[in-house]
Amino acid sequence: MISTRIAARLGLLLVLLAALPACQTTRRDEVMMSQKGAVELRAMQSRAFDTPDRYKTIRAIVATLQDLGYTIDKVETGAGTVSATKLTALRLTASVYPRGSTQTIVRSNALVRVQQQQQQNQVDDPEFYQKYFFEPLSKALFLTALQVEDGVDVPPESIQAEPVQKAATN
Amino acid sequence: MIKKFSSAVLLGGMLLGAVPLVGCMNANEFAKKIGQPPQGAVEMRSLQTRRFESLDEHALLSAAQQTLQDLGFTISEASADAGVLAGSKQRDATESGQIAGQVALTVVMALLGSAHTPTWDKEQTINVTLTATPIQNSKQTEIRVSFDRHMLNNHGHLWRAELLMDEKIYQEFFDKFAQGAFLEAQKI
Repeated sequence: MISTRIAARLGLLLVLLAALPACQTTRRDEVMMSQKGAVELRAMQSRAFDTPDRYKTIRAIVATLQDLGYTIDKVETGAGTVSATKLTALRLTASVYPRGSTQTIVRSNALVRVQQQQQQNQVDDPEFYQKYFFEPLSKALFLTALQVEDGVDVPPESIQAEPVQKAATN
Repeated sequence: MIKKFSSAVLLGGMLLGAVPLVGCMNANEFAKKIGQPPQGAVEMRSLQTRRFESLDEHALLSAAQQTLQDLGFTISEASADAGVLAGSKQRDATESGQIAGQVALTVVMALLGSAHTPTWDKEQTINVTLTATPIQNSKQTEIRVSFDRHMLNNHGHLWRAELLMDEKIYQEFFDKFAQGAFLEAQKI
């Protein structure tokens, strides 16, 4: 009988402990990254488009984000990145890079802050990227967003990292 | 005894799983809610867009920059390659009526024996994004401008963020802009 009571108390304690970290997010500047695998994330965040035109793609991204109600924070055509924020809560960065000589890959990554005093969470729902980014983007580009198959999605001319040789002593 | 013990732990475990669900709104769900196209996206587009008889995108962008500066915006981002300008301005959003209302409410609540923290709009930030797009197979360039704002209350917390849908704001911008660019804006 006594041990049942102890067990019940233990259960209650566990519940109380569970309630503590439920929404506890102490640092506002922290980012909760997705627990999903890199391959899965890359698949939901990237699409290939049948155009080699980087500027056209960047302009289409900007137009799409503006149409969706984002404010543009940063555009860097040289590096091929666009960063935007929607209603201070949702931040999205899209980057553009060539795939071969005929295609361009667009990868986007979104972070969301559910409550003002909380940390940001990486968005890892395929539906979000598909419905609220790639679908409108492909309409703006008049091109179909092609799923990027894993393994093919390597930037061209990948550069091997080489260890830095120490200067010869003599 | 063991059965009771394990069922108690099981109950605790179930609650343990349930509590975080109630405690927090799912980030993905929230992102999908916010990420949706704004209501009235079509009207908004026509409100925010004008076409100009010019192919000189850079001249239009610099005219736009001057118009935004005239309106008190600070330019935070400009990319001629992408045809983008972005900026913001802060403005005091305090309204005496709102403060009076909040103070009156605090007094009434205090009389009823309850504490109410008076809260009112303190400061608002207006963001602007402007894009220039040449129209294919024509001699026109499309300018789209969009404004949004967020309000901080007197406790320094964000409590309202919205896209500006007021037609007057956009009309005023394009009137000023057309004067600056010596161009007649065409509604689309």
